[in-house]
Amino acid sequence: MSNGSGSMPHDFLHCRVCGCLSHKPDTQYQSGKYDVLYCPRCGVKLKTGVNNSIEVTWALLIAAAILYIPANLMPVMSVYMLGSGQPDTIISGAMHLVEAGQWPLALLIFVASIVVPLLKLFSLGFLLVSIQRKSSWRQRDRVLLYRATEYVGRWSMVDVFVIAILAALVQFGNIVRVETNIGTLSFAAVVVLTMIAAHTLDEHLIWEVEDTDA
Amino acid sequence: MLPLFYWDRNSYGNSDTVTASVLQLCFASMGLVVSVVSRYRPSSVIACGECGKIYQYQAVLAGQEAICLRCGGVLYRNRFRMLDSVLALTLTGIILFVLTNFFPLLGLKAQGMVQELTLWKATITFWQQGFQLLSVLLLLNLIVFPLFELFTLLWVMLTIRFNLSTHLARHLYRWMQQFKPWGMLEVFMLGVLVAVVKLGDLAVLVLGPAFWSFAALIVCMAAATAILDPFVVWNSLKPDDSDE
Repeated sequence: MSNGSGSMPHDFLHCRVCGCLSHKPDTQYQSGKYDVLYCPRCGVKLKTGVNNSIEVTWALLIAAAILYIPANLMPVMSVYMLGSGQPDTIISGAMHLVEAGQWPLALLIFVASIVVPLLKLFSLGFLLVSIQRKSSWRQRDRVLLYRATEYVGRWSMVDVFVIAILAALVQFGNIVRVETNIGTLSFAAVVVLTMIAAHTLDEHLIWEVEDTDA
Repeated sequence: MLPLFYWDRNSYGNSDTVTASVLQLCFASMGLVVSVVSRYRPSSVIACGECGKIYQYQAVLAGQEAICLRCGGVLYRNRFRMLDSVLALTLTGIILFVLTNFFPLLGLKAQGMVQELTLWKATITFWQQGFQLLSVLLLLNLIVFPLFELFTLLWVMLTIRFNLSTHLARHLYRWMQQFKPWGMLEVFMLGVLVAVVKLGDLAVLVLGPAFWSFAALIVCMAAATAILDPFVVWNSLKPDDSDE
């Protein structure tokens, strides 16, 4: 592997979807603030000029943090047995599993539905703050943190899927049936918003300090 | 701000340039945005997909991979018969996906009644209970995106294999890469397993035929993802119109 010197020269554009390197338009063309450049190979919008990744990610993150509260306080589903219903939040659902002796399952639900979304909110917030402070502290580890956050996010959907399966399967009229409640909607919104936030966060900004080759 | 016009004669692809100029006209009439298709650079200079550091491309031996010195991300890898393996896995995946959709995943017996769970029923239940948004989300996660991924892989492999026009393949593959996290079949599988354990001691559960085809489908798609190196795909999908 021959070593390249430094990072991106200024006359190159790097498409992060297909990895294509292309020339920037000629210098006679004055690049305006709202101009849009497209990748010549895959056709995706290349981000140049104004980069609003930080602002958009903050907005999504704050929305997710607000929705995290009803997601945990509102019931996600109710089990109706012989006419009487019992609404459950995520935590009380996990508690029932512990009482029934199914603690591995309770642990899975607890980690996927409470710990992971919370960790995602904190790690994205931490990455945003450190990028805004142009910190050069452990850049490589922060990229790893970003990749882990991006990877793990979708697994939080498992609780929504379990509720969907239970609601579809346990439908025996008056004897026992499962109904979905509003908590599921806000929980799914938290997962979706944090996934989009992880996507909009431009992790290349972690490297935009001074050019230090690790 | 004054609208600017820019026509790059060297830009690759007629259709793209025309589309771009039509867009330019639309946006410029609103006085807002000018779009430009930047020029393609066919060279051996590549950039790390993770951190953007620039390298000179060098071939590696079969079974080896090139790794970025700065961030440790994989630049590209060389695998034996990569594209044929992926094509085989994709075709298998499509057959399994069809099977999965036509048979029940689980059956639940209680009080002489049987309830069956299919992939479609799992998505539609939220709609019936008044959560239309959730239902659409599940439809996208479980049916639309996985199917899109399978057919995109099929088309891309066929394009490379038979030297077809790469225009559609490039755009499809780009969308597939961007929407990859939103196809959640393996997460749904975990959900099925959780539900099986949860209901197991309350009622009689029967694993349907789709359960096994679904498991096999997930293995196929994971294997295809693990085998396929996007760098090789993008290198093979050269723009078909002359770019210089």
